[in-house]
Amino acid sequence: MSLRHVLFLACLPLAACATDDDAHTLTMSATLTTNAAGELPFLSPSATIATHAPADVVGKPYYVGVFPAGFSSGNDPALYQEWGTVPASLSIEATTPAIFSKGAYDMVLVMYTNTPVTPAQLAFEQMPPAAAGGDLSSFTLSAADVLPGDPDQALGTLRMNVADADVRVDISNRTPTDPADRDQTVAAFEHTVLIIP
Amino acid sequence: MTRTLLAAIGALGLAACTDAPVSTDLPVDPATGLRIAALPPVPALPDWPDNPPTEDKKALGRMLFNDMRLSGSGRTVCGNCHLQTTAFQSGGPLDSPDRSFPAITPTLHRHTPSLLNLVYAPMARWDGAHFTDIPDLMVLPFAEPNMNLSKLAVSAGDEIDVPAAQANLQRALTVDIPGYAPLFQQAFGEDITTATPARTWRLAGLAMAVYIRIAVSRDSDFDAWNAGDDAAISDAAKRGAVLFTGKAKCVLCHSGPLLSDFKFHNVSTSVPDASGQRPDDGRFLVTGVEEDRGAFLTPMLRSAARTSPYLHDGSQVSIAKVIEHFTSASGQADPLNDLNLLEPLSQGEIDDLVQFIKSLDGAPIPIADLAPPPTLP
Ligand code: HEC
Ligand code: HEC
Repeated sequence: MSLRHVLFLACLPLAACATDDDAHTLTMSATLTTNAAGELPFLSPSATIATHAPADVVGKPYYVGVFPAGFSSGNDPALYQEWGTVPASLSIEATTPAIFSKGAYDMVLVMYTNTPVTPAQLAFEQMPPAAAGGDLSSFTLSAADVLPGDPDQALGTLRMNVADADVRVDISNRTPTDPADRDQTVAAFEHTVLIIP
Repeated sequence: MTRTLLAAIGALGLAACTDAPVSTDLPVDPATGLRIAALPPVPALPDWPDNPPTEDKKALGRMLFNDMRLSGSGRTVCGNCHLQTTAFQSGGPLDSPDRSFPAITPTLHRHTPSLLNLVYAPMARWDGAHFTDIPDLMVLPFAEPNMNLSKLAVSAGDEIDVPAAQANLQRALTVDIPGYAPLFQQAFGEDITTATPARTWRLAGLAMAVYIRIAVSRDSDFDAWNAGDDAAISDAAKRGAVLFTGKAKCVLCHSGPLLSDFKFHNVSTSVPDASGQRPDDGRFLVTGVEEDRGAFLTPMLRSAARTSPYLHDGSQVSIAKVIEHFTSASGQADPLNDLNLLEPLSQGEIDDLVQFIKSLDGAPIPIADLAPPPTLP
């Protein structure tokens, strides 16, 4: 099965849809790695570690969306969105077309490992479902990428600041080697793939 | 009773609104200082003479809200479902009990509400169960599956074992974590090591109430416009505000500074199946009154654009879908529904209402005082 079985561009009449040389791509790349037991470990919001077997994740639909910074989740349409299928390599790279001009955007990746996705949702006729227990979401704890004066990033999104180049962010299923180590745990919450409890 | 109320308000002339283009050019009424008096600004924080808010209580409440060791599994905090960064809700439809992992099924049967503006609420919880006052409401989850897995089998309307939970909390706060007793002493001048479990429970609730008191959504762009600032919101949001209080009749239930009447209404969100069974009987579980089947508390709407998904079961992802439901045949699917006065709206009108609700986002909350504390006892 091809990696991206659906591709859709919701280009609204917004500045974000610039087509000139000032417009750039956004890329989110997610790499999932297994632990010694061959399982995929993920941090949960309460800093516990939970696992999925790779077989539970491969072949499941994933959603990537780009929104105006500080968007209202569920209520603001995406500037760009795509659905794909998690490949056997367990690594996803989603790149938008070069449509994003200078400014701040929020980009989200959700792997629906548990929540069923309907054909209407896959066809963008309906909003993607709210992620629920067992699903996987992009996440970063700190607001380090939120520039002064810009709105907070929405839950599960990563802030993408377009200046004069394409923007890329890499996330992975980071977990602390020593779960008792607070600093390690806090660090693992940065640019991570979180499991939703 | 709610029906009579709705009919009475309808008769006052709201029902007479026509399809004419909405004028948003509302004057500020000198008497109220507002354009729309039905949606006044959020009042100042109430005084709590019985529980005067202090920094010590707030700091203690912040710890209790964020201390995993107090949960049944030792892995959950209130903030796991009521996230400080997302308007004190979870962003998911139905959360796992105890919000730990591996995912626990069945999930909680109700959607986690936002705790913003709880300080003002004269009634809370989707069915109003167990509502006495805010301190009680804040400590009660320690007796529920939310925070205590031993109550996993609990379903809507089941009894919960408060005395057992009080004993657990007492043990955690005095024996397991000795560092709490001095903090209670400092905040309340009481020694929890000699207090009854019920008293310690109450003090924990009082401290957590002082903490959540400052999580307020107020001073929105809508409030600025309502007080006279023409440029504060978009034209669409202005049209939405006029619709909300006029033709669309939302204000019949979503009224006052918090946009709730704090009453229970059936809005066909838990419709009976062929055998007459509803997935959730809502308010009926508390009152036992037939008319209350399928009725839920009208949610407050300030910062609602930050709290998707919506409704008691988290079944709607967008505000637009909620409104479509209210104003179409599906809104009248329950024979007990309170929506019969509502009429269909155009997509443009629904969009305007959504823009209005978005303009109710509050100014930032004092997150530095609300975030998980840097240290725990
Ligand atoms: C596992 C998720 C979860 C956890 C953990 C949790 N809650 Fe909740 N909370 C809920 C749900 C679900 C409801 C709705 C219950 C209902 O109305 O039937 C709720 C309702 C509430 C309400 C009523 C709010 C309203 O407007 O109706 C308060 C107050 C509250 N919780 C406080 C807390 C506190 C304090 C803690 C920690 C001691 C906590 N919660 C832990 C899920 C959770
Ligand atoms: C008859 C009373 C009533 C009327 C009229 C009404 N609502 Fe509601 N509204 C409710 C109740 C009750 C709920 C919660 C239902 C549930 O959770 O199952 C609700 C839920 C909502 C929600 C979801 C909030 C959340 O946090 O889950 C929104 C948004 C909303 N209403 C907006 C509107 C708008 C806009 C209108 C006008 C078109 C309107 N309502 C008319 C009673 C009413």
